[in-house]
Order: sequence, then C-alpha cells, then structure tokens
Amino acid sequence: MGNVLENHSAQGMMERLAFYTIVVSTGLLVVSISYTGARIEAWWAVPLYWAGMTLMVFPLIFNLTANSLSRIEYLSIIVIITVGLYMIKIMHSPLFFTFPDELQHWRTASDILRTNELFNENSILTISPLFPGLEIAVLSIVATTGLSIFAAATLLLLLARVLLTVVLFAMYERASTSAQVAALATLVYMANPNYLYFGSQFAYETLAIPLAGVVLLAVMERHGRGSGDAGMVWVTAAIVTGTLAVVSTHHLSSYALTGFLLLVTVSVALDRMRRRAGAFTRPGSTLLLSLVASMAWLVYIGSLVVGYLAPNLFTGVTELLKLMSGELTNRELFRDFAGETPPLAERLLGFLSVGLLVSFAPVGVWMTWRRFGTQPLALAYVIGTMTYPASLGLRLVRRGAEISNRTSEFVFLALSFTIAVSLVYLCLKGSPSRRRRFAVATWVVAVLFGGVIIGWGHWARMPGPYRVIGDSRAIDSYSLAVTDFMLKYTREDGRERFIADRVYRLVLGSYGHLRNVFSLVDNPTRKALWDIWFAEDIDDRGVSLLQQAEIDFIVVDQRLGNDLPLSGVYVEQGEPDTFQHRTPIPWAALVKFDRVPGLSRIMDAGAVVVYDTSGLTDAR
Amino acid sequence: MRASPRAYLWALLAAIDGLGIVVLPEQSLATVLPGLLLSLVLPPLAIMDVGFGGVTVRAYERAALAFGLHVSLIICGGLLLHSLGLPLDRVRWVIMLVIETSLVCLIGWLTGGAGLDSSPRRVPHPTVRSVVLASLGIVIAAAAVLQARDGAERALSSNFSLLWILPGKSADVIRIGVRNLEPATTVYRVDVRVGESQLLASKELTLPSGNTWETDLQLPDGRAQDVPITATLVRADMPDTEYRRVQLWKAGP
Repeated sequence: MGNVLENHSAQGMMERLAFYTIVVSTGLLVVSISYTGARIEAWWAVPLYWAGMTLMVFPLIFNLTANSLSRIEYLSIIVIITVGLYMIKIMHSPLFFTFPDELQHWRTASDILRTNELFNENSILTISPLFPGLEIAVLSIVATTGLSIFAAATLLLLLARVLLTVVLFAMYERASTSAQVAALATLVYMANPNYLYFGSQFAYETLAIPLAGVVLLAVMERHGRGSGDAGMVWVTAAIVTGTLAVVSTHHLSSYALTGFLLLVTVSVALDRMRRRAGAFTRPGSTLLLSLVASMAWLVYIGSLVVGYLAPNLFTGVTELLKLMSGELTNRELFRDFAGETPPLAERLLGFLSVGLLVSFAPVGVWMTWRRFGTQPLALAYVIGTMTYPASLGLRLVRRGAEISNRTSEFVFLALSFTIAVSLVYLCLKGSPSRRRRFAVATWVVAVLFGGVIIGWGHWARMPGPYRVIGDSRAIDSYSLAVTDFMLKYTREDGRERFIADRVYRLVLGSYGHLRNVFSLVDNPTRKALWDIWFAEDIDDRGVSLLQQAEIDFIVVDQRLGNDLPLSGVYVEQGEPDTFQHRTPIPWAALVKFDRVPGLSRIMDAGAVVVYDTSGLTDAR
Repeated sequence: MRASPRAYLWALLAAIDGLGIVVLPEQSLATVLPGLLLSLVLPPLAIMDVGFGGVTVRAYERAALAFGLHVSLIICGGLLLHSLGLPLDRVRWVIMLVIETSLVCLIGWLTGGAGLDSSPRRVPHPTVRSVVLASLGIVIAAAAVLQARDGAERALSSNFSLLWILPGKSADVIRIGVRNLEPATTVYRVDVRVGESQLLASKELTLPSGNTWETDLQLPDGRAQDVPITATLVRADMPDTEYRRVQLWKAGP
C-alpha cells in the first residue's frame, strides 16, 4: 500500500481515498464490537472504543498534515472522517432514537405526520413545534419515500453533517486561501464537545447550523457577482430562503447567525476604516434580514423561547458570579450526578485537550491577525476566538456547563480557524518531517478525543445495561413493553395525560403518544405534583390534586429507588434537590400509589407499574 | 450563454418521478427509490445545473449551495403550505417538489442559464483497484452497522411478563391479559377475585415467548362497585411467589 500513499497522480489520490474508506470502516467495525461489549459491561469495551476511534481518524489526520495534497483530497479526507464520526453515533442507537432531544423532536414530527399540520402541542418539549424546520424537511422525505421518521432523519442528517463540513471547508479556505488550513480548521471544529453525539442527533440545531453555514457561504459568494449577473438570483435565493429556514428551524442558531453576521459587519466596517480592500463587503443587508426575521419569529410564533432559554442563562451566569465572589464552590469537573467519574486517563485527556486549545488560541489569534488581518472574515474569527475562555469559565458551575456545551458549536466556528492557522504556519510550514507531522496529528487527535470526553457523559457515550434516569441507557425492554401496552390500551390517542419519571415522560410522551402533565399545568400545580411524586405517602389533598390536574395515568418505575439519577433529576429540572440528590428516592414513595383506594393498578411488569385514576371519584 | 438541455430534463424527470410516487401504493418498498430521487436528488441537481455555475464557484461549493437552497426551499414551502391552510400530505409534498424543480428550470430558461458552467470537467477516472478498495470499505462499514444492530436487538431481549386488568366494553365486563416476554415458553396460573370472591379460579396458561393471552370476564350483578377486582399471576416454576398483581376499581356511570 506504500506506493499508493506516495502516488501523487489523480488515480493515486482515488486509490488513497478508497484505502482511507477501508481504514475508517475497519475503525467503525472495532467501535461496533466495543458497543456490543459495552452492552454486557465487558471490561475491554472502553479501551476497544478508543482503539477503534484512533484507528478511524489518526491515519487520515496524519495524511492531512502533508502540505502536498490537492484541494479535493483534503476535502475528501475530512468528508470521510465526517461520515465515520456520524456512523459512530448511529451505531450507538441503530434501531430507533434514544437520545432525549431526539424523542422530543420525534414527537413533533410524528404529530405533523398524523395531523398533516404544523404547530401541534408537544408536552415533552413545548418549543419544539414552534421551530418545525427540521421536521418539515424530514417529513418531505417520509411522505415521498414511505420511510420511517427514523430512517428519513438518519439519511437527511448524514447529508446535513457532510454539508456542514463542506461549507466550513469553503469558508475557511476563502479566509485563508489554503486548503490545508481549511481542512485542519474543519477538523478542529469537530473537536467541539457537542460534535460527535449531541450535534449528530435528530434535533433542530443539527440541520440549522449547516443551513446557517450555507447562508454565510452565499453571502461571500454574493460579493463575487455583479448586480447584472444572473447567478445573483440563486445566491440571493440561498441567502433569503436559507435565513428564513434557519429562523424557523432553531432559535439559538438563528441568533448565532445574526451575531456572526454582526461580527462580520463590524469587521468590514473596521476594515473600511483602515481603507483596505475586503473580500466580504455586503453582509449588512443579510444581517438586517436575519435580525428582523428572527425577532419577528420570536414575537409572533416562538415567544416561549424566552422562558425556555432565559432561566438557564440567568442561573448559569448567576452561579458563575457567585463562584467568583466565593459564595459558591465550583462543581467537580467530570463527576456525574450519580457521583461517578470517568477513568483517570479520560479525565486527563479532557484537561489536556482544553489546555492545548487554550495555549494555542493566543498564538492562533496573533498569527491570524498578522497573516490575514486585512480579511474581514478572518478578523471575525479572531474576535470570535476571544469568547472561548469565557465559555470555559461557565464549565465551573453546574448550569453553566450546559450553556458552555451548547455554545461550543458556535464558538468553535471561530476558534478552529485560528487554531488551524497556528498549526499550519507554526508547526507544518515548509516541508515538515514525519516526526513533526506525527506530533501535529497526535495533537489534533488529543483535542478531538478530549472534546468527546468533555461533551458527553462517560455513561452515555456507549450503550449498556439500564441505569437509573440514564436517558438513552434507561430506554430498555421495559420502557418499550410499557409503551406498547399504553399504545394498545389507552383510549384517546394523544389526548390522555400522565405523570412519570424523566425517562418515561420522554418515551411515553413520544413513542407512547401521551401528554405529559408536568408541562401542561401551571407552576404551583407542578410544584405540588412534585411533592406528591417524592412523598412517601399520599393524603386526600394529594388525591384531589391528581384529579384537578386531570391525570389519567401514573407510571412508576420502581428501579428508581436503586440509585441516584444519572441526569441529575428524577422527573425534571426544578424538582426538589434538582442536580443535588444525595439519596435515592425512597421505596415507600414508589409504592405509595398501591395504598390509594380507587387508584387502579392496571398493569404490572415487575419493575414498572401503571396506575389508572379513573376509579378515584367513586371509590372515595 | 445557453441553458443546458439537462435543465429541462430535470423538470421532466421530476414530473415523471412525482407521478410514479402518487400512483404507487403508499409506504411500499417501490416508492423508496423514486421518493429519494424526488426529495433529495433531482431538485438540488437542477439547482446545481442551472443556478450555481460560473467561474467563482467550485464544484463542491456549488453542490453545498444547491443542497442548502433545496432544503431551505422545502422548509419555506412547508411553512407556505401550512399558512395557505393546505395539509402537508404526500400528494402536496410531491406537487411541491415537482414545482420546485420545474420553477428552477423555468428560471434557468428565463435567465438563459446564465449561471451555468459548461466548461468541461476534469474528473479523474477511478482505477479498478480504487473501486475494489472502496467496495471493500463499504462492505466493512455495512458489517459494522449490522453488528451494531444485532447487538442492540439482543440487548432488548427481555425476561419478564406483563399482567393487566382493564375495564371491558360494558360496565359489567373486565379484560384480563398476560404477555410473555420471558425468553422461553412459560406456564402461569391466573387468579381473579372480586373482593374476597373468586371470579376466575386458578386458570392455567401456557404461553410461548412473545405471545399474549387475553380474556373478557363477566362481573356478577351488583358487585365490584365498592371493592377492587384483583388479578394475580403466578409462574409454575415459582408456585409460592406472587409474580404479578393488578387491581381495578370500577368507575361509576
């Protein structure tokens, strides 16, 4: 194979790419075997997972460090890596969606499919139906092909991931005029903590971010065409429809797009002040369009966003301020809510990856400024990179960690460019030795793997046996059997109301087509229901509250008493001791409904019991 | 510059494809390929061919812009259908996708295909070795996915049974059911009582794995209005243990 790797002809490139396909596929097979091992808690599963990941990406990244490749080869290699990383997520849950956000969006899509209408109620994520872009795109495939939502979404999101990679490559190449910088920057973007799992899931941002990238690319392309150019029609169409699509698909992505356009507009203005030519001259009109469209959508359709985002943001910032003033101690990094930590090697790699990025970012900023200071887009990347340390600070507090993870997909758009500039012009300039290339490839792999470790809990990264409120780890044969039972025996599809723990809330609220009461009642009632859920007994007042809240079913997984909740809550954020449970929910709290006259225990699966409230009135 | 004949071909292909999808039975395997062509291939190819050409756009940028514009048009189209009060069903989707492709071609014709890049492409021909290697890679990737699916399916195997009790179709009827999700055929005993009286005495059941047993039971007159109906399930291999228990309080009229 050595002669293939050294052959610089077009045919040699094709053979090299085909060889890389085998390398990535073999890595995927190893990861797949590690997943099977993880399902039976084999000791070798985790080491094999990392071995498979290394086999999958290291040889390709090493090849990217060569500065003699053609543009198409650089691009093809990162596309192959993109597809490989997406497959890692797909193989995690290859039969149906199991991630919480996926179940929430599945319900929105399923409701549109059932009613042929948009903006239905979704009791497990109330804002999801208000941003239906992803579901519309998926359902156009479902309607024409007859595929399931799962299959259609998996296919569309694969294309979306590739689209994001191509768009990032194009944007970075336009800013740097170097295909190698573009390829490495795109690769470093993949090191953002949300990329591998969260960013690949069936959720609105997975489609919105690539579409935002298309808008930015079209804005750049618009500059290259005169007003009389017929191609302008298409570029303008991409900007206008792309912006509207982003706005109607994901709130944060539309705000990030507006923010990035603002950044670029400011950079252009600064550039003009210095009287230097810029490659990016007319982002102002797109900025205005994006701003007006996202605000109009917020006011007229998506007003729930404020109540959805603001508390998290407010709490995160408040916690950070308290930490800085010494009123709060920082959370123990990497420790999950059940008190477990990943292996030491993983924790060290997580710290190392952040350390590498933090140490290279200033160098990257300086080098980008020196080399590309006249390019407004590069200037925007420089300014954007400066937000990275702030996003890291948020990781020290509980709510802030979530915000930091969510924003990493946007912060890394800028950070990855400056980092790649420093790697290429500091470490790979001239004709780098194999040893130096090996070091750079190792650097990138460390950052990539560190991102995976930081972004996704060690218990969620791989499939495995049931864990208490372990989200994808808690969706098992019990939850599927209970869902199947509820689908067959509930009376009014999609109208009946239930209360349950976080996992059954998601599963029954999506695949079970029931309505989760916790999202449908006002705050005082919700708090009172939490009290009932966690209490060891239930009195007449509690029973009458169940009736007032019009609850039809109560689903209790008695395994909740075995452990602390991995997700930090048994039911949902806001419940007593949110993120701070110290002892598992008492057994008495889980069996108390058996003692209520009139409350029928209609189904018993052993670990899980379903109660029906319809007999309450007469019995009491 | 002259519009490419391919531009008209896309519109024609989309129309034929759309007609085929509408005629073929819904949710059949036969609609998968034509459906994928119409929803993901033909419209972006038409946009790529007619719109994003010219010297300033590279092939991969053209593909990205075309696919991005197509998805954006789909999303905006869906919102438009909804705002017009039209249902988002299969026929509307097909019509919309055909219209999208045809409109793209029409605009291309009206603008003379100005964006079209008719310069010859220099696409390297794949060698036999590269085709063999790529095929092998795809086979290994498929094996990885199949292995992952097999592992996931095996992880979903269960070793429990469900017992349920539900109100029947009329007020004096109840429905009892058992579902065997154990790995093997299981022998059970079902008892049903109204208060202290036995309604179904020790019914023995033999259920193969994955099977369900259900029956309706008539309640005696005037009973079960103020006492619960209780059903218990005992496994023959654990005769002294109450394996499952359910209880129904009858609601009044």
